[in-house]
Amino acid sequence: MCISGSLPEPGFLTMATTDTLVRAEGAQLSPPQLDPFPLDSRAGKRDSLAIRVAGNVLGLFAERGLQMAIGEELKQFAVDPNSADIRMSVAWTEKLDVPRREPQFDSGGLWSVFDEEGGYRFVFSSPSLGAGPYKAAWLDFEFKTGRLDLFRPYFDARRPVYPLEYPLDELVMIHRLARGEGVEIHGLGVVDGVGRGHLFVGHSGAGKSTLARLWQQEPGALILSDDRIILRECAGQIWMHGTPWHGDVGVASPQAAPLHRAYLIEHGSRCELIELSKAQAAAEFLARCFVPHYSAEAMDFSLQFLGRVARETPCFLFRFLPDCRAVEAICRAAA
Amino acid sequence: MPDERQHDSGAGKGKVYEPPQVTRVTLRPEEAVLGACKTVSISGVGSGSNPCAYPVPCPNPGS
Repeated sequence: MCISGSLPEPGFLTMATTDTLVRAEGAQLSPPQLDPFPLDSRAGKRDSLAIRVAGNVLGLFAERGLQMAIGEELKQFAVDPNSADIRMSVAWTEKLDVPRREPQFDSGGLWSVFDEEGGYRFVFSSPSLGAGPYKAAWLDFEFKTGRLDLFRPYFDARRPVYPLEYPLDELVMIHRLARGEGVEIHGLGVVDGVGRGHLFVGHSGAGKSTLARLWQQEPGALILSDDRIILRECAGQIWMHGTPWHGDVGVASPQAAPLHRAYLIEHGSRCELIELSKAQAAAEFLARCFVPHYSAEAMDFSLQFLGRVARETPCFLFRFLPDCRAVEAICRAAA
Repeated sequence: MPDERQHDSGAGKGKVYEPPQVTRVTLRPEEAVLGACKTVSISGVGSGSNPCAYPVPCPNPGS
């Protein structure tokens, strides 16, 4: 038994109908056909693009002369830019400064965020490029509209760019989700052969890739992502959504499934499932989520949401050996 | 508000009070804040599948 391929028409509201996921004995998963806008004859260059992740459509609209393109792995997430519910204009700039005030939050890495003019200003810099930022994005407080400036001297203007490249894509998404929509979690999402959604949560090195490779050998199983899963509520149920942000196994799917069980994973000397208390599960998942930590409102919502996930979903500590017994243990326990 | 102890000492019904407990969890800040680039196999500034437009190799491997 396995889940059939594609979702219905694009649009999160239709997700409620994905409980019609078709069960077909022995059927093969077909790649979702969600890119109605294939790259054109100009070698993938175009002045607007959009991706849909977990029901949110993030659209970019470039100034004339700025060529954008998306990578292969994003094509199945591409949708009509006119359907964007987060709209950002993109432009080259010859001058880009870091605001002369304390940031609201400094990641200690590529980005910082500042309060500015009715929204947030994200500034991206890398020590390999110099002290100045290589791009900056302004988004309104609701994460509906924004503007992205790319510092032209740091880019090869002859090549098309993907302005949303990591971490901006995920930053926009986690801020939007934190406004009452859901959370992005560091995890592997798998839909088993009978349509049950399993979420394996863990830091880097915990075993997400190992488990993903094992699930790849399981007939009928569908991997939504081997590294990043978005949890949202739809029609009274918690759903897990695939994302384009994959891990070492390189699996990404725009599909979604109701969450059946969640596991905190770690390598072990044998396979064992130990039920977690609701509080423990919520706390462990929070530590493996991507949330705007500097925002009290965002943290409050994320805590509430993960508390609901923990209450409504059986949660386990899953210690496993890197062989087929791991998948067998999950399927046997879920049966 | 009825006292939990009254419940317990009565008909033997009701939940035994359990005081709140502090749960410590491990956070990896460098992963949690999306502060660094990802590995070469993952989409990002330093990705092989999504080639970087920047003139130098990215020094910021992350989660």
